[in-house]
Amino acid sequence: MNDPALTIFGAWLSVGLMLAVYSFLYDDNPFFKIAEHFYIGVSVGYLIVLSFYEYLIKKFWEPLQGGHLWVLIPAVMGLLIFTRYFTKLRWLSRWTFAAVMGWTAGVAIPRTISQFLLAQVDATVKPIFTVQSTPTGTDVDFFINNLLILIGVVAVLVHFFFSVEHRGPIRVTARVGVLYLMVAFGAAFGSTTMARMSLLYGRAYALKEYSSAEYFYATPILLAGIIVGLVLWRQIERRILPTRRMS
Amino acid sequence: MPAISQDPLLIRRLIFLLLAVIVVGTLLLPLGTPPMVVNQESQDFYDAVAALKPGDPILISFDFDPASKPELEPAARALLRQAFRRRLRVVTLGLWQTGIGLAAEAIEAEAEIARSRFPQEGENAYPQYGKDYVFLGWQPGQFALIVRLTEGIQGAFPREFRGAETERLPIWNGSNGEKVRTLGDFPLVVTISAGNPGIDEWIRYGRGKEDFPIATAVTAVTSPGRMPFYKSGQIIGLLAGMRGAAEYEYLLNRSEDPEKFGVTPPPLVAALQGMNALSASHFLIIGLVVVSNIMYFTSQRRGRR
Repeated sequence: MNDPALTIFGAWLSVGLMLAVYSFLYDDNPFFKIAEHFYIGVSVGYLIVLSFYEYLIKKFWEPLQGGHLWVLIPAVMGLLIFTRYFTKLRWLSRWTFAAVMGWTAGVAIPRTISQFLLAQVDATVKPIFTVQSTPTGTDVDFFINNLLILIGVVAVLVHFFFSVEHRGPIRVTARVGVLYLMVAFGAAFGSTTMARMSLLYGRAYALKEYSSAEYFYATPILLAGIIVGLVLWRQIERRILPTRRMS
Repeated sequence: MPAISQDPLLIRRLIFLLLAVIVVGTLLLPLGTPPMVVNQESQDFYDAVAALKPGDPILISFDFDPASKPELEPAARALLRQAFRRRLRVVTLGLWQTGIGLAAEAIEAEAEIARSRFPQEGENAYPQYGKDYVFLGWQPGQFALIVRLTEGIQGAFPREFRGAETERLPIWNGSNGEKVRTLGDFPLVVTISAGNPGIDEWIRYGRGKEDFPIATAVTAVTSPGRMPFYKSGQIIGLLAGMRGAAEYEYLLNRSEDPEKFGVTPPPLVAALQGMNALSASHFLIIGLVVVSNIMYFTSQRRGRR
């Protein structure tokens, strides 16, 4: 957006929507509802236009006009999915689903096994004692790391092994597994907090940026407007709601 | 009037208010950038790009959208800056339809900064679009597109973002006559990944067929799940969320050298500036966890009595 008027309009729209969404932290209110509907409408509209252009035009219509008649095969197969809406023709949709499932399984299964299972098993099954040290660690570091991995893998697997009653040494091992899981969940929670705070910081930074004279003080003006609007809405709601309840 | 501890709505609003005060307060106070300790995975990310020679191709995939912008855009901008600084051939694309505008903007902004480093080169200054860098844009298919890239990049993207025929671009030809055809021809592939499709798909469908080094910048939420891939060597460098981006920015700013890289542009601080707010909010969260635990155990004890 090189047009200054459009840039300022974009800033005001952005700030207005941000503050309207944040107003939900106080309570569900008309500002939030407007922003919510606006968001869904714009997202869906944007995706429909983009999908129409990228899929139907670029991947179907243009190749078809160029004489590539083979694009009719996936197009027809795609249309077959809509036969789900007709009881007697429903079976035709299975052809498409079968093709998609077959192709996806054929591509995904071998690669998932090699990259997500075998490669991870290979990285987990390490010797506890190492002979040589590398620039990034010593023998002692590797020993501690590999020992912790060994204990963790065995303990967590035992925790989820329900064919044997968890008593005696099995119970102790399973409890160690729980500790490992707690550490993993803690790391996940910490990372999630960091991510959410980063997003909050991003919005706060944008609000600060748009509060300058360059953007005609969009943030303070709209913030004041939304606060006044919330107070008025609360007053109106208090007066109207009892009447509605009576009726 | 109920006590604060008995009104969950009041407590919730109080926590929101505290967080807002902390984040906005750290933004408004001139605290400067905090001292950084660089994690090994961030150092490895930096080193992976630094190890490339001028003229080497690098593939960068922008697999995020505006929802993850604060976390991932600083990493993307820093990566582009390092890639252009090293005078690499930068091939970019995106797997997320809704992130294409962001990607195009970041690429052009960093290309412009790179061009201003050597003003004496004039109009022919590096990088030139189509020759030194290109944005292939977005294509439908998600993981199927990655499979397609392992068979031929030009086939997967017949036209680049601006509409030119991809096949005819000089960017695919190396100085020694070698051609870039598939993912396996890249000495480094980087994905700035917010979720799916992202790093998981690049590992599964990309590295599952061709063996190429891959590094990634991910959101903090997804970083613990990607750590096993880093430890196993399937990922050679990892930037975790805004913190990872801040470490990367720190490394880049520290290594600026006018003699080697030309005029030094303003330092990258987007993520570094956020570290104060992030640290302060973390302290608040830890404090709240401690306080709520004390309140919980106190109420348990009262209940027993």
